Amino acid sequence: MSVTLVARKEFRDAIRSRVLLGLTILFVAFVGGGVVLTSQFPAFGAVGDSTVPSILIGLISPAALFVPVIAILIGYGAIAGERESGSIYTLLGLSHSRADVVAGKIAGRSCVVAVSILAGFAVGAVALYAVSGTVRPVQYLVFTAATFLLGVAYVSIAVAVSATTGSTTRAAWGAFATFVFLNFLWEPIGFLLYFLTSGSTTFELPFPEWLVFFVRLSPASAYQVVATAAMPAGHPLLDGFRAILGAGSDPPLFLESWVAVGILLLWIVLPTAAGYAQFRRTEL
Amino acid sequence: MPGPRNTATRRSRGADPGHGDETPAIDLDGVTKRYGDVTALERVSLTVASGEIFGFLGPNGAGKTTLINLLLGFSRPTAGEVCVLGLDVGEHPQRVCARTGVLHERGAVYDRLTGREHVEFAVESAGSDEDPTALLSRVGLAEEASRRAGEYSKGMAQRLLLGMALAGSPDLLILDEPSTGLDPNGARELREIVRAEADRGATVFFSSHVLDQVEAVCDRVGILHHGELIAVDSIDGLRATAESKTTLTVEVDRLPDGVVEAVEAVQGVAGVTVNGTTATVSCDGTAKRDVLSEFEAAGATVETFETSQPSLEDLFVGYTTGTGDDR
Repeated sequence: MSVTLVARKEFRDAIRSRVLLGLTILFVAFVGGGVVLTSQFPAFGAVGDSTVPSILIGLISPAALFVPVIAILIGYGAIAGERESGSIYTLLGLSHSRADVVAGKIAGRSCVVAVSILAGFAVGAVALYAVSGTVRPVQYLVFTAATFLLGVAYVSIAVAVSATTGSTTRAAWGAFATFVFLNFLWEPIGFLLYFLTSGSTTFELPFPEWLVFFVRLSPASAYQVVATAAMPAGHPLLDGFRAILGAGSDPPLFLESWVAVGILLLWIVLPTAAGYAQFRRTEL
Repeated sequence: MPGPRNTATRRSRGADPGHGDETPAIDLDGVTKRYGDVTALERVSLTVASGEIFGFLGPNGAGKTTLINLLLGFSRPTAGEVCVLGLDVGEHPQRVCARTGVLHERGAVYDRLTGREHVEFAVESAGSDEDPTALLSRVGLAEEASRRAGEYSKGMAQRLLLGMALAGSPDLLILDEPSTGLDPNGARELREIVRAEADRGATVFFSSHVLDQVEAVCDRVGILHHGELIAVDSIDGLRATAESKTTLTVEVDRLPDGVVEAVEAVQGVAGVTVNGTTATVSCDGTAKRDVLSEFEAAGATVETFETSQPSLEDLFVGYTTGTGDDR
């Protein structure tokens, strides 16, 4: 399969360039170090039964920033870089379709992110066991899987941006601007809409369901919902988080946790489709 | 997508070097390509027969690479039709590329992958089961196969890209400035490969800005200048044209009134320029005697005369510089 060939080439290149190695070290340091660090702070630290969730919750906000940045660094040069060097002519000349190129790039580079995330979380599990004496595998695996989905979503976003330009500089700025918009502007836009439509000048909890849903549409917020989905109530940090982004005790269908999984999946599929639609029309 | 079935088709074509295939390998009809206000190609019509080695000549910037991008579906024509191997390229770019080996002028190698990995990638992409080592030694890279392509010289990278283009025994080879970076020995090996591929039954579309490179191997050449195909002819036909462009330099004792006009009126004369008592007449080789008798008839005495013929290279340069003012 053509997609597999392109993906394999991407992965091999990441091994050669030591990107995979560097990234793995980075994630090991991030998850492992994060676990040890958060366990040292009283706010996150051992609170009886909720040790594991509190440590993981301490990791969520940094991960929601760290993972996108890493994924963008991995993805932004995917297609723009090949156009810049000219190797795209070699690649397309070998009869790989543009769809295969976009899909193969995303698949190959997602594998790079996946391997390093898995390595990081494997070491993190050991660290977690060392500091808390337990791992809570379901919570931990859901957290890991959510982080993986977030990484792949941002790889797709970065590759899609990369497909729109022949300049890696522009691709880098474009991907970075998308990240800033989604991670820092999306939520304020939601609140702005809330103030404008409700006439209210203060936050009044609970927020209307549409606002919660709107905020959850950003990949980072959807990630936080999915990552904590398996954690039980009763921890102050988690309850505080759920009071804002949560859905109450009897949520409507669109605020179920699995809808947030769907949102993350859409953030993988839609950029891929958009990137292909753009690249297909591009004249080389 | 290149599947095993595709490979089988190729092999059967490869084994039979016959030229029975009526479908032209390349068929362009009124192809125009504009980028905004800039016209890169203007109504180019060209047919390259199956099994032919076609030389595509033109100075840098004439539009050769633009045309090749159209042949491969990398870009789309503003007007006109592009058919390659009997397929509309716009509709079936993958099917065209799957049967075409490409050495693109702007094509680059992957710096971190080895030569062998490149060729393996090309062989797998073509759905072929060829031995990468055989391809590597065909292009003279067997010794360097395990080195990273980023360490290759320009000429070695060019050889590698050629080896990749040969993978899967394609029906059509599109070689865009393939001799770039090759030393004379490499250029000779390239010509041998081109001939071998043609013997196998492949069509070769060989683009170059240097006549020497195509003269030795091509059946026919087309000359592209400022986006227009200004000549398509066999090499022999071009030679005949060169012979027809004789320059006759005549030294006379004096130039009587009206003699220049009289000589210009001679059948086969393209132009006359005068410098003192020396007249330079560009004409068909056969008009030489008529020109000389016209001088004598006007009352001039021809003291000496000299004829010269342009080389093919002169002709090519003439085509691609002389007509530049027409636009």
